[in-house]
Amino acid sequence: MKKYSIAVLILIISAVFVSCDTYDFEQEEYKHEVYLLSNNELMYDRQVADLKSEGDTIYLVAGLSGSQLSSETFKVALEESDSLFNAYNKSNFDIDSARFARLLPKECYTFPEMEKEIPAGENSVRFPICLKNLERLSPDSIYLLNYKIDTTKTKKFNPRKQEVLIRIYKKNEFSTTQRNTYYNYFSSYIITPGPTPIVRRPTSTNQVFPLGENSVRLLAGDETFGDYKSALGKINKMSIKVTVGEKTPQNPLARTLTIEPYKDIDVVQLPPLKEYNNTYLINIISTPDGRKTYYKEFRLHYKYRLEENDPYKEVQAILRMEYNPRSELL
Amino acid sequence: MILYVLVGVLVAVIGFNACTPDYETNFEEKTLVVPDKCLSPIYFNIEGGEKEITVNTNVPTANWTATSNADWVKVHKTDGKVTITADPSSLYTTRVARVNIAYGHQSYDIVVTQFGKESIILIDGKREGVIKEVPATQKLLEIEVVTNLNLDNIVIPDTVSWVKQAPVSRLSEDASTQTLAFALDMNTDTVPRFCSIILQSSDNYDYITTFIIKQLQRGYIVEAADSVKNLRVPASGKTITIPFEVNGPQGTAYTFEIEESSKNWIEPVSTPATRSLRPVSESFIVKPNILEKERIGTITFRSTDPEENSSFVVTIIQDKFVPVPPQNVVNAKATAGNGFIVLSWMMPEHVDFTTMTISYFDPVFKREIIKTIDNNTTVQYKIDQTFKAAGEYEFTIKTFGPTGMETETPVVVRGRSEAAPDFLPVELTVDMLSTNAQEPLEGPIANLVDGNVNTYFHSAWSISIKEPHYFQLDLKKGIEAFRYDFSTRHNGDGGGDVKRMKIEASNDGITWIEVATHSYTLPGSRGATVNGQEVTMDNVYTKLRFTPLARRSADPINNSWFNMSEFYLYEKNIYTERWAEAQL
Repeated sequence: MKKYSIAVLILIISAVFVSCDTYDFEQEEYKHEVYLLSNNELMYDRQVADLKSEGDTIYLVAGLSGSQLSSETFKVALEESDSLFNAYNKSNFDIDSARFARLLPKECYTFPEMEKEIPAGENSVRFPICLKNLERLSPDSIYLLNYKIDTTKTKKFNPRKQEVLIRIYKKNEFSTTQRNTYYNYFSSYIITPGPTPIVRRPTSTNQVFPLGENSVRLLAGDETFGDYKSALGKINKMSIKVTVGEKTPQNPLARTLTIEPYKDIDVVQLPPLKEYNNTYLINIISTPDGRKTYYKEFRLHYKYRLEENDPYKEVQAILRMEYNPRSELL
Repeated sequence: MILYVLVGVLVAVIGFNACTPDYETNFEEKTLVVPDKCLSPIYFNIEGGEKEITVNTNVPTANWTATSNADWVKVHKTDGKVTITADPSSLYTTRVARVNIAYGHQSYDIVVTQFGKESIILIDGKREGVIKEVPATQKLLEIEVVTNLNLDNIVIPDTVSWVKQAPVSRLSEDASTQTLAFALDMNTDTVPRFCSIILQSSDNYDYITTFIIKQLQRGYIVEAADSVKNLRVPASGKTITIPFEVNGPQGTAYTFEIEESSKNWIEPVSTPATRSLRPVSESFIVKPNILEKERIGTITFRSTDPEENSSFVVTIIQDKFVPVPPQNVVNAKATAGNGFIVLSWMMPEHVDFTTMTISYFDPVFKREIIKTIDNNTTVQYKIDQTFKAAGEYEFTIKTFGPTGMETETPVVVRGRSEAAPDFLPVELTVDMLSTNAQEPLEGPIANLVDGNVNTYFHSAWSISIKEPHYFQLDLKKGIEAFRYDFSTRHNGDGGGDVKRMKIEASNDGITWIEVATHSYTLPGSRGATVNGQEVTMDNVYTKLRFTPLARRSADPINNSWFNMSEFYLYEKNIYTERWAEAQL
C-alpha cells in the first residue's frame, strides 16, 4: 500500500513538472512581409475626416506580418495607382459612368511622405494624408485614393496586400457621409398659403448631409427625392443649405442658423417664430429621476418654392436626432 | 500517514496564500453629492444676484469642478459649496445657462435662468386684436406703435400684394412711439379684404404683436387705359373693340351711352358684359364715312352704381372720306371642281373698299354674269354651273369704295372647270328627316346625315309599331329625278341591313305616290355603301318616303326594325357636261 502511495505521489509530481514544459512562443511563426492595411476588398474605410477649416489628417497604414516583431528595419515606399480604382468602378457601376467614384482632387489633400520605415521592434508605420478643402466635395459622390507599394524600393511585401483604396469620408458635428444620418421632424408644420391654407404635419425623417465645418444640406420640405442613386437632379432642386453660426446670447447651447439655397431652390429665411427660432440647439431633456436625453435639433422657420410661379410654402420645423454625448457616434 | 497529513497541510498553506490579494483593498470612497433641493432651477431677475449651492463631498476642493457654460454666470467653489453669480442683463429676452458640478461620473447640472427687460410693442394698447379699417381708395396708412424695441421685423404675408411697407425714418430706440407707414393699393373688389401684419424685433423675437388692416370694398367701377380713350377709325369704317375693366356683375355694373349725334354711325355690337375688376371689352361698328370731312363721336362708359362716380369717355375720330379708287384683292387664284370653280384671294394690307364683284362671260349660257359680294371680308367664292367643255373661264374681280367708286386695278384670274356631273349632291340636314318608328333606346334619326358611318339610325324594336317602318325627307326644293345611296350599320351581324325598299313621293304629306321599289345587293362587310338606283318621277315633289320591305335577316320585314348608318341623295343635274357640249 505504501509503495503504491509513493508511486502515485511521484506520478503527480512528474505530471506537474511535465505540465510546466510550455510551448516556445518566442519562435517566429510567419515570415516578415510589408503589407498595406485594408479589408478583404482591399479598401481601407475606417477613418472619417473632420470637416475643420484647418483640415484633418487620416493615415495609410503599412504593417509588417509575422508573429514576432522584427529586429530589422523595413523600408516602405509607396506610389500612386489607379488599377483598384478602375476595378472598383467597373465592378460596382459597370457603364453607369455618372455614378463612378472619383479620385480625390489634388486640391483636397497632400501626401507628404511616400517613403517611410517600419523600425526594428515595431510592426507598422503610418503615412499621413493631410486632407483639406473637403467642403468642396459633393456629399453625394464617392471619393477615393489609390496607392500601392513601390516594389522597386520595398524588398519584402505581400503581393496580395500591396495596394489599397482609401475611402474618404467626412463628418461634422451634425452629420457624416460614412452612414446615413436622419433627423426626425418633430412638432413641425408645412403650410401652403391660400384662401384655405393647406397645413401638413410631417412626421417623417430628413436625411442630413455634411457640407462644411458648420453647414449641412437637407431637403426643404417633405418631398422625397426617390431613389438616392438617381436623384441628383431632385436633390439639387429641392435642397437647402443650413449653416450653424455663433452661440446665441440667450442660451449657450443654442447657435444661430442661416438658411440658404443649396443650388436651384428659392428659399427665404423667415424671422424666428416661437420655438421655430432658426437655431441649432443641444436640447437636454431631464427626467425627474435625473436621467437626461440629448437631442441635436435644427429649429427652422423659412419658406421655399420649387417653381418660380408656385406659392411659397412656409416651414416651421424642429428636426431632431437623439444622441449620446458620451459616445462618438456623432 | 503522517506524510499525507504534512502534504495536505502544505497544500492548504499554499492555497491560502494564493487567496491573499496582491494589491491594496482599503479604498476610501470619494463621493460628491449635491442635495436635491439645490438642484432646482435658479431664477435671477434682471439685476442678477447670487446663489449658494451646497456640495457634500469628501473630495478635496481642487479635485472637483464647478463650471458654467455662459459668460454671464460665474461660479466660485469653496469647501462644501459653490457660489453662483449672475451679471445684470441688458437683454429683452430671458436667458439660460447651465452650471455643472462634477467629480468624475458624479455630475450635477443646475439650470440658471435670468429674466430680461420687459418688451413692449403695443398698438392702441394691445398686442393683438386691433383692426385698422381704411377706405378702399386710401393709399397710405400710418400706425403709431408704442415700443421700446427696435422694430426691424414687420412681416406682411406673401398672399397679400396690396400692402407694402413704406420707408420710414427710424426713430431712436429710446423713443416710446414709432410711426409705421404702409402703402396700400386701392381696393377694386366689391368685397372688403384683410391683411394680418406681424411686428417683431430682433431684440426679442418671442414677443409678437399682430394687427389687421381691413380695406373696405368698392362699388361698381369702370376703368380704361388712356391709350384706348382716343381711337381713329378709317373712313371705310371698322368694328372697334374697347378694352376696359369693371368689377360688377354682368349687365348691371355699367352702361355705355353713344352720343346722340353719333348714333346714326356708331352702333353697339353687344350688350355690356360682367363682375370683379377685370378686363372686358365692348365692340362697336363704325360705319363708312362717305362724307369728305372728318367726324367725331364719343362713347361714355359709366358705372350704374349711384354711389360710384365712375366713368370714362372714349372719343372716336373718323377720317374723312377721300375719293380715291379703292385697292383690290391680291393673289387671286381659281381651283377646278366637278361643275364648279372656286375662286380665292387675299385681302390687301389696307382694306378701303366695301363691296366686291366677280364678273365673267359664260360661253355655254352665252351671257355676262356678275356676282356681287356685299362685304370686304370674303376671301373665297364658288362659281357653279361651269363646264369642262367651255374651256378657260376668265374672271374679273373688282372692288368698290363706300361711294361706289370702282378700283382702278381690276384683278383677272383664269381657270378651267372639270366636267359637270350627272347628279349633284343634295345637302341633307336633320330638320329634313322624320320617321314613324324611332327606337327610343338607340340610333336617333339624326345619325343618318351626320357624315359618320360609325353611328346609325335604328327603327323601333323595344316598342311595337303596327305599320311598316319608314324614314322621310322633306326637301327644301322640289325634285323630279334623283339618285340615292346608303351605308349599312358599321357593327353587329348585319341583320338590319336594308335589302329591299319602297320609295314614295308627295307634296302635301298626305297623298303618297309610290315611285319605285328597289332591291339591293347587300355588301359582305359592315359599314359599306350600297348604291341605290336612279328614280325619275312624273312630277316635281318635295317629300320622299323610304320604306324598307326586307332586311338581311327578315324577308319580308313584317313591320319590324331595320337600321342604316348614312343616307345620301343626289339630284339629277339638268346642266350636264353633255348638255353643255350641245350648246357650244
